[in-house]
Amino acid sequence: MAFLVIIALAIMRLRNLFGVVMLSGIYSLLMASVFVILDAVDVAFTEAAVGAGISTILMLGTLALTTSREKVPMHTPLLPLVVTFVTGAMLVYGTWDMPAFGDAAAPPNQHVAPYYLERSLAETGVPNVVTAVLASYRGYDTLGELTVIFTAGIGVLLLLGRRREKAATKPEAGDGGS
Amino acid sequence: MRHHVILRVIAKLGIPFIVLFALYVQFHGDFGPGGGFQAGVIFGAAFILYALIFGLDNALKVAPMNLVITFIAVGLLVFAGVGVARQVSRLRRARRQFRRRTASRHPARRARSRDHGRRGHDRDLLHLRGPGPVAVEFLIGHYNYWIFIFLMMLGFYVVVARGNLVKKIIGLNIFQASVFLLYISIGKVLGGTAPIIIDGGGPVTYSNPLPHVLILTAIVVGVATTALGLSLVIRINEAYGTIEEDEINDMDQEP
Repeated sequence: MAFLVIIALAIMRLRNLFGVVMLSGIYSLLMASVFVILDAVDVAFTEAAVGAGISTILMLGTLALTTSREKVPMHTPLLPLVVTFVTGAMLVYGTWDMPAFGDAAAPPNQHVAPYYLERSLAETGVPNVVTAVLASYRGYDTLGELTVIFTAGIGVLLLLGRRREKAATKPEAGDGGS
Repeated sequence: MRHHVILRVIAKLGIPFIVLFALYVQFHGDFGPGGGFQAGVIFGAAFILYALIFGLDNALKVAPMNLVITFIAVGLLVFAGVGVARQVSRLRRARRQFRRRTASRHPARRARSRDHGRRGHDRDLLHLRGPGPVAVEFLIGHYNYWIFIFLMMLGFYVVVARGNLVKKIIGLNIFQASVFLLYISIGKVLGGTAPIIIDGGGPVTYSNPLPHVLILTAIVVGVATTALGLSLVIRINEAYGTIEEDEINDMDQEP
């Protein structure tokens, strides 16, 4: 976890965006290993594939189409710093009431999770509880998620698809002019 | 990259295995980690690799744009359709089984209430231990939250203070990641193991699967929003010729 902090700091400091993107890929991979330590193998898998794989490729694609140097910001970062510190202090204050790490009796671990763990094998026949909950008990969540991805896909296609058509028609217009 | 022989050969050898692995993840998701999303992502990565190595035109020949758009829509409809069909069949069956079930319900309810009593007892124990927390114990139990808050504030700071739009999106991702870590660490139970039910072998402590599910959804939604944000950045770059917030503001003020 110390690595995570170091890399996040480096991401903040670095101005070469290519390096930043590479670091964020490493950051995702580290997060995936932290997830494995925290018993969340499914999440780790997803994070490794999505965070370290697809996100990095998307970022690189964007950099290829734009620029890979960040300019020095013109205004002083004093106000953001103050805002960040105040928010952070408030959040730390909020942790006084949080259950200790790894506590089996903590409220989040007592609500519906035992039900899923006890019943999901009998009710769905799927040993992997995460899959069972994802697809069966909380199927509507997943439907909503797919809708979000669908919307995002349409958005990307609309934003970038039109550009390609324009780019395709531009050379033709140039040919007609000459 | 079209002229690199090594790249082409290795990609040609590797892509079938990537696709095979994706299919394995897809159909083995019941039993181990993995499932539809991960499989889809790996599948997509194979296509992207193909497009990178052999050029976009060849990739578009394999997967034409219209086909892709149709697949996106069909995928959503299939998922929703499965749900609808399931609900319909369940309603029908539930009506049939209603009378049969009422007879056998009572023993089950009694067992559940006994469970509940035991859980309540655990909670009482916690309260007894609660009032006098040792400082060191408290530190060890809570330092994870502080790390997450620190990461979150770092991301927040990057979003607010940095002018570069790509950097802002990366900051947003860090912010998001800290929330993921928070949820997953809440679900961790000391001495627990991954929530994949093992047949036989006595009582096993499992970590809480619910946060895992929520975060799985959140990661995928996160990458969708990232993609949308990045495509917005590309459009902004085309319209303004820059991805620095300050310069964009200046340009907006000029006319």
